[in-house]
Amino acid sequence: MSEPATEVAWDGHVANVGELSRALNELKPTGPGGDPLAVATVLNLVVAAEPERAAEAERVIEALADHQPSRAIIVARDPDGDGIDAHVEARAQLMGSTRTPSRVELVHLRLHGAAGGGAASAVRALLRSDLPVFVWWPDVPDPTDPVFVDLAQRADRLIVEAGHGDGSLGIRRLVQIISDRGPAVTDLAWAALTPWRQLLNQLTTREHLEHMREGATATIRHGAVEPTLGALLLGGWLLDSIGPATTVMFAAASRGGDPSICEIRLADPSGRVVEIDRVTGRAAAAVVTHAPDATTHDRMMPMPEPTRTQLLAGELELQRRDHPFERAVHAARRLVGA
Amino acid sequence: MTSATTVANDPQTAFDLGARLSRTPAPASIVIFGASGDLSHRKLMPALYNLALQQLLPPEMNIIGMSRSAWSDDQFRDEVRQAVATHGAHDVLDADIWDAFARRLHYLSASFDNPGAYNDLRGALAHLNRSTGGLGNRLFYLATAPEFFPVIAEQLGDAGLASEDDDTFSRIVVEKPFGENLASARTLNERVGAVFGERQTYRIDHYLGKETVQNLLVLRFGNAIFEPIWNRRYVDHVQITVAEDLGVETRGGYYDQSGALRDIVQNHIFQVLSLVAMEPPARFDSRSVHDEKVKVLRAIPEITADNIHESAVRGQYRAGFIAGQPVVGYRAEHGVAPDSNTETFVAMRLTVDNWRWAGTPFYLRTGKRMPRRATEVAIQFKPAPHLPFAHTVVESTEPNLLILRIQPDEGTSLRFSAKVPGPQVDIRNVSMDFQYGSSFLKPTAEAYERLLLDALLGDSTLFARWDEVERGWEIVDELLHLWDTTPIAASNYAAGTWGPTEADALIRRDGREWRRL
Repeated sequence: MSEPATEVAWDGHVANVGELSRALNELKPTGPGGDPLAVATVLNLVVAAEPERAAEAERVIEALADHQPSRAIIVARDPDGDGIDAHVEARAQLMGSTRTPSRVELVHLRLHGAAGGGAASAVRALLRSDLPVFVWWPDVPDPTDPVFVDLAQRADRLIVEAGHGDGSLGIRRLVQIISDRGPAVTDLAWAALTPWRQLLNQLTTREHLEHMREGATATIRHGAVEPTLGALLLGGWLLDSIGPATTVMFAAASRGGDPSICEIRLADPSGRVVEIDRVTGRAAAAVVTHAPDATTHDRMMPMPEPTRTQLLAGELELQRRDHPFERAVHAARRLVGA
Repeated sequence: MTSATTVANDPQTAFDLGARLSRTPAPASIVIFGASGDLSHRKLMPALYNLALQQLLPPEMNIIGMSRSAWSDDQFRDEVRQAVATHGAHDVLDADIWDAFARRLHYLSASFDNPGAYNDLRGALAHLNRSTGGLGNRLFYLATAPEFFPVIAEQLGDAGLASEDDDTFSRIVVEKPFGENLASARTLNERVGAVFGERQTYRIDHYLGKETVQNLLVLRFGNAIFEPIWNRRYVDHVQITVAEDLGVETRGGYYDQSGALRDIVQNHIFQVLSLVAMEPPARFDSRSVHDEKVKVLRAIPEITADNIHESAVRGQYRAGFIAGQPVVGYRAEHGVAPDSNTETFVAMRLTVDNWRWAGTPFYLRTGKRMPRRATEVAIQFKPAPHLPFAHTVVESTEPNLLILRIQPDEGTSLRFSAKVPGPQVDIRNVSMDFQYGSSFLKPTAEAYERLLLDALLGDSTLFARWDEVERGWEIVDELLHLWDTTPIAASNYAAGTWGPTEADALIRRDGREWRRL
């Protein structure tokens, strides 16, 4: 007797995606004991990207482990050729703390030539119904690209990576795509700031904030020549959170080619100064607090350094609008004068 | 949930947290009494390390372990490191992170009834406050044998460590069991209460820290479809099951003094029952939720000599098989008296005599060495009043059932009737399932992490208030007395079965059956 299949796949070249739903339905992976699988009822994840980025996105999705979407649909547009190359697979996946595996699916489409214009249409036909739709656009969003516009309209949550361009371009694009009536928008560069923001939250009481509101100075050091999108978003968040009397400064620092934020210094008129210095290669930061009475405390504090896969996994846990993010984007826009 | 009981120095969130950031408590010193014990190793230390790792403990937080073991700070740190590595969620401890966490750890070797130890503790707390920039807040966690609870509280009071002022808090977390009967619980409460006010006292029941138990409130009050039918008109009865396949393991000595009624029913099951049966609170704050829970417990009639046989059954397991493996009987377990009178199984039939639930029985059962581990609440609805399927094979339908699985496979199922495909009208029950694991990607936190954080934040919603604890003891006090003074029908169920036949008789008298799990 053959072993039960925990992963099954189908490949083909099709004129439209109608055949793919049928192919998916015919794939019957089983659990380790040969039991049929219930479908994970989490979400649809749609990725639209150029072929190279799409391949990279597929690797990230495969690494999501127990954070797998119910169905991931990766769409790559290729100007050459015609028709659709499709790969579909279904497999057993342990989700969260459950002991019984669920069925998760991956659809990878390569839309050739004119078929590229129908990317959103192909995606709509393949979505699992009654599940939220997350669209991951692993690039700078282009609000004039009809595929982007179509997918954004269908999305409940839109995850972009506007930091692939320069920081100020990223801010301008984010301003363009955030809308009260559109999907909840986020950027992986913002997600990467959570450990910084949580650490600042740990170090700041409301009393401290009152002092800061009288005129704090925040200095953000980053490893790039110009401020990265992450640095600008952190500056925007501080400006929005502390208030208009805040001065936000950016400074380049050499950190072995790593462009990301490496240090924050936050000083308020009471004389309190907080310095946070990320320890390279460690999930930790050195924190030095200078109190107004001239006493100094220095400590090593946990500060996770999430990978891109972990950042995406974290974004898939959230669904609501992220108002602090939206306000940070608008405040950062003031910082870059856009 | 927010708390109405927050006091001085509880953190006022500085930044808008949004969906991503978490509240962090004000700097405090956490003192763990019984730091060398099993609970500290298995639960508390891994929970504290995880909180630190998740950036939820402020930098000025210190942890002092106290117990009789003659350890140095470094030995204590080694013990904690081993505990975190063995029982924590992370196999590999990052060296820098661990070093930073270890620097927060301190140890005092002391006898809990020695006043000098508390002077040493006061000195250590003052020193740590000065050296780390702490604010003077204190959280005392009693992870000791119960006989030390009042002793420690009183010694803390004598040492001036229980007092609060406008700028500092001092709280005490008391593990279960909170007393061994009504009288001893009242005595304990009076002695602890003479030092720590109710607002300062956090009686832990780790069931309340479980996501699925908290979800009971969201399921009931966050959905419009359940509450209209959540009453005697539509609900036939409720079954609450806490079944363990394990025996007493290494806890034979403790368990033999306790038994299933004290260990599970009076606290965990009554807490779950009160969440199932409570009225909607006006707000989700500590006081409003506790007020509604205690009303339920007050509506449960006490068990008396007159109704005891219709209300409760006890059992004790004999040798049998679990998952195909032979296991010994209770009286042969390590630490258990060979003539033990302790129950390892309890089944009860209670009513909640109020407008919502009058006439709707609540059946409770808990036991060790059951066929499988399962904790759940099953709401069984009344049958359809009329079946319009004349001239078909359908003679009856099974009742609708809403099952709230607390562990394992946390989630909710709704059982309802559906037509079997085919030309005939035939009906079979099917299930609509929600599973945490396959519907949410966010992992659930360990109960102790959540509860420790809440105690530090000053939110007592998920802790038991004294009037709830007292009422729980009142309901079962006469039963306890009777069972303590009359011999148990020893070995009346085999390990690996669902309890004694008397438990089946208890529910069958009402024309009902226990759910087969």
